[in-house]
Amino acid sequence: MDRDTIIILSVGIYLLVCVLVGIWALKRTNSSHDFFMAGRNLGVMLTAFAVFSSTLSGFGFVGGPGLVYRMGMSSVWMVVVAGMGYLVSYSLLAKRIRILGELRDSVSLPDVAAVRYKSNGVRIWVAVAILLGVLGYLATQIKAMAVVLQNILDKPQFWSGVSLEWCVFISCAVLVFYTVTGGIIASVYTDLIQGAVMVIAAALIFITVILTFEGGLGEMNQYLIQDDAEAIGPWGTLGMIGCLSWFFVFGLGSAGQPHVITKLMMNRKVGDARSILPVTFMGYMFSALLWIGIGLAMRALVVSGQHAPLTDADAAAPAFLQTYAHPLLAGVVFAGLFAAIMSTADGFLNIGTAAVVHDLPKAFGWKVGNELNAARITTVVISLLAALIALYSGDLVAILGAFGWGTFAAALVPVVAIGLNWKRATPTAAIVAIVSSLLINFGLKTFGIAIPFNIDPGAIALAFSLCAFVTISFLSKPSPIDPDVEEVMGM
Amino acid sequence: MAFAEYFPFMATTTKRIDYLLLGSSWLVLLVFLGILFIPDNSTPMLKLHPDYPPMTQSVHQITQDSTVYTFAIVLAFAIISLMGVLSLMGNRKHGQWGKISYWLVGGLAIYAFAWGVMLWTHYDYQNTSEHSFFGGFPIPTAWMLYAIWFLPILPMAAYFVLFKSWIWRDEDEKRFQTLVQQAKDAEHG
Repeated sequence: MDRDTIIILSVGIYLLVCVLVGIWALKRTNSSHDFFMAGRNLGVMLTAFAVFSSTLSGFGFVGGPGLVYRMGMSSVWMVVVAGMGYLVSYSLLAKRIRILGELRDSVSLPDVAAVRYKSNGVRIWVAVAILLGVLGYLATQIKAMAVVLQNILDKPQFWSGVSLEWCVFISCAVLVFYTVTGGIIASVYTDLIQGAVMVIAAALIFITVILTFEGGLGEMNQYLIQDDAEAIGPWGTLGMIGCLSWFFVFGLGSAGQPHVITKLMMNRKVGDARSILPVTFMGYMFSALLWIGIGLAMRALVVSGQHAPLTDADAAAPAFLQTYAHPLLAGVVFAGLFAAIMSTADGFLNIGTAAVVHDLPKAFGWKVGNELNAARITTVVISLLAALIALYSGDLVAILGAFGWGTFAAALVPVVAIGLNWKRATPTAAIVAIVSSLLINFGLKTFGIAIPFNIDPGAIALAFSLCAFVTISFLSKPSPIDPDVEEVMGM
Repeated sequence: MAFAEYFPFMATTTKRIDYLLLGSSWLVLLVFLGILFIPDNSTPMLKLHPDYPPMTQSVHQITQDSTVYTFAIVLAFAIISLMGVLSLMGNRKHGQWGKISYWLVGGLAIYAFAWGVMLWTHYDYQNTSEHSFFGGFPIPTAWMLYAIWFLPILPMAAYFVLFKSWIWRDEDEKRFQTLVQQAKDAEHG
């Protein structure tokens, strides 16, 4: 069997498994509570795998190696900071968000924020920030899925000349099927499979990287040093300040990613957080080996003349898999790539749907008859909208895509992560933090403002919104908090 | 006691957290702003590789510019401090630090030490053409990958070990169940 057939079979089997999980989860999804919160009944492994596989999207499998190929070690800071990021996130959120979720029967982050601040305004702004981010992130994930599928299918023996539209349709159909039928239950069970595929694939790829060079990592790094010693130094070619801005926004920012932290409301027991943290970290660490390994290997192979130069940095991962990995492993990694993209996309679909069906109607006092059916229909509508943005919006998809991590970090870290731990935080401060983060992120991207030393715009937005939030809260009169919420914040 | 005498506005744990949060947040923002307004800040850090674009090569060595380098070092430790403050804040309980705070502060101190060694070895790395390796990587990169990446395991271990005796005790679980029951009773009238 040739390499292309093995790859398409692996991806096909993976997509089939996702559909089967969707059918299985359909029987277990009987209410909107099941659809959004999985009945708050997830075990340690399920929650941990759902958290880390949602964190590491397709970016980690394609964009990450591409960045390492382009800039050397610079982007590795996004990975290296994960340990501190998870520690901060779990310290601030794991216990309190889970307690508040059950105590007030909250099914979304805007719900939790509204309970904390006793403010519908905060609920609306959190929902708006989530919706804007979701549309952008989802569109980029759908586009990534379609591009990968097109690369796999566009072969004479399969479907020569297949259009991007068809690929968007096929990948969205699978994603929407299991998310509509099984809601978050299907999403977290597919996350478990997706996480396992990602860990195994990444570990095997890293071994392949070492075996690609006779002298292992040492030889690989000698080639890199001869070309540009700074590229394999800690700051890569981007420079120290740019890397520190990533360290900041990816470290603290993980406590503000709604598709990730919402999963911390779904575990069975509050005490499970104890074991979920180390499993999450280990899973993420193993998966990230692919990011570092492939990027450095392809850069070393090219500068040493062993591989033709790449015209597109994002081709680093596919090129390595096509040329150096065993066909079966290449098949598993391509399935892993789909897994990484889908595990993030399904999380976004779920929280976006919650914002439309649950949070905004609640804020404006609108009645939604059957929330479960409305959620299923809304999931389809959001997917369609994101698919249309992915296909036809041109630059808009890039602008909305930039709304991703940095915007969530700047908008939600102060308001949710710090707000749940700091009784002085006020609703006004929360709204100012969200609005300023949206304006700064959108403004910098829309007007193409260049920031010196390659500082990430998200880092500026996060630093500003954090200071605005803390300072306004500090200078304001404390706002009232419900007694049970206040007790939970002290626990 | 002496601390409270000299700094009465930080007499309680809650007040200390307030000021630590305010101070560390502003420090990060001010350093970012300071970097943005450094004169002649348009020096490119990287350029397209002459032979293999879109690969890039470094242009500017940060250690050659003492002002920028100083700002960068302050920024690194300011971010680590902010992460420390937030970890402490999240693991407070009823306004108390608890034993876990020693572990967190100790873990962060070791983490910051690893950062210091990485910066120091990187300074040497930029100023020499003969490079030493550890675990297949140049020394400063080895510190980044093998120390900075893995050292958060120490405070994570504290989180795991002290979870049942501090973060979520049996009495917390009982109180939580009572609160949930009260909420349900209130809902059903």
